[in-house]
Amino acid sequence: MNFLAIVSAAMPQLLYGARLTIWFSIAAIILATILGLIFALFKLSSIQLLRKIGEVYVHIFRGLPLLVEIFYIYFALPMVLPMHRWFDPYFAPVAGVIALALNEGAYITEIIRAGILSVDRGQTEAALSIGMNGFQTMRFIVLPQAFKRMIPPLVNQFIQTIKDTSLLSAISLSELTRQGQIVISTTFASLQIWTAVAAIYLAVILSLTALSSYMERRLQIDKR
Amino acid sequence: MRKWPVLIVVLIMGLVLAGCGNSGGKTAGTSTGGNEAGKQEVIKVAADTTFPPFEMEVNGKVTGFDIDLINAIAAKENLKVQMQTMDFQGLIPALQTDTVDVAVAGITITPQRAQMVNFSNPYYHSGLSILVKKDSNIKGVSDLKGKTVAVKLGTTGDIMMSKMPGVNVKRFNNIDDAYNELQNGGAQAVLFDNPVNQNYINTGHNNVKVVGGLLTGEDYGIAVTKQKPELLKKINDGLARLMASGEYEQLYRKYFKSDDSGLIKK
Repeated sequence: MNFLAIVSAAMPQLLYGARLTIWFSIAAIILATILGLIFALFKLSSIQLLRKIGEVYVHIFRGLPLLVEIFYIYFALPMVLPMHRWFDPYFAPVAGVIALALNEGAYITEIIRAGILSVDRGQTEAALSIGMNGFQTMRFIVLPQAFKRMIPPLVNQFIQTIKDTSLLSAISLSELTRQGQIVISTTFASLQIWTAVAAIYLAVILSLTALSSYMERRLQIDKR
Repeated sequence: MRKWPVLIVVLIMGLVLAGCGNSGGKTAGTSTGGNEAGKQEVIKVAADTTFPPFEMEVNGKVTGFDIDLINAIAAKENLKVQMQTMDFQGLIPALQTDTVDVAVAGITITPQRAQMVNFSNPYYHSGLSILVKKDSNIKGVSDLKGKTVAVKLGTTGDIMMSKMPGVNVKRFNNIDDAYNELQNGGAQAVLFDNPVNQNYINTGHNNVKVVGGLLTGEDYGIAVTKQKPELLKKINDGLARLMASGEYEQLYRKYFKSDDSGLIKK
């Protein structure tokens, strides 16, 4: 069949792109989660300066389109700082992952903050009254309970991150979407290649979804 | 239990509205392209606007050599041009599906592309050239080995660099992004069509230069969908009449002054 022939010829290139997509996604997700946790705690802090810093971070990076953020870091910054001299040949992937992480981190900040706020106030009061300090309360009592509630919106955001990696094609990174475009630019087989690319994205994202369902089930059982 | 009928009704309404929307759009499309006797035939033309001086967007208006040329041909053949802009890499797929009838974007005529679309007779003779910073020690194609070259996705420059081993190719959607990459130091060279490189130098960028001369000889053609062979005849006919009457050369001089390298001579 012509369809299979075209797709299998392109598969090595598409899978190479898929590997890059997965790497970028993992790096961005890990970085974004760390940023999200830090800025969520900032926003919940009793120190006003930290609260302000958290607010400004979320306002800026949630308030700009991701594509603009990617362009800004990759094309605008190097006009004032010699980014390519410092970071090449890694500047493109580093810039891409950082832009993704900063953007997703703003959304994760709000998800984590909402999760923490949803834990009953009585838990915090009880923890403080038995002598735990703020850090211990957060670490042993509040965060573990908040975590279970955060899984659905967090998985949502992780899936969004995986899809957002396709925007990195705009700064020449050869992830899956870009590989699709490259193959089509010489074969012109739009239907076959885009179908294959869509199938691969679905496979990656549905795997993440299955993993999260498994985690949810396990946590339900433990926390009866 | 009562929720289900409501949900089903809403779902059906949604599908009906979506269906109405689509067919409404289609009718609107065909009515503007109506072929009543005596009315002009409408041709949908797509152009990529980042290829000066062949096409560019100035104050929201699409202009350039290619644009003026297709408009002149349309005037000669009693055709009405409906212009839309599109990314270069999307032009040939759009022609394959007859989403548009004609595409102009300094498209080089190649055998691979000619399998997918029809090309008019050549209207400009071009070639690729290498653009580097003035202090670069790259002198020609062989010096590009081991370097990073920025190209525009899907162009003959992209194809040439992809075939050359040992070159790190960075592909961008727009040639402006590739030029930026050269300026910022992310690439040591840009490989692109010579007239556009020259235009870049002439528009205030005097820290770059062209090296290695013209690497290839290529002809630009107007791309026409294979589903309308009679349109191809009309376009070739219009182009021939422009060349015979001298209007082609007039238009050429307007953009390229005394540089004869691209002129198609009889």
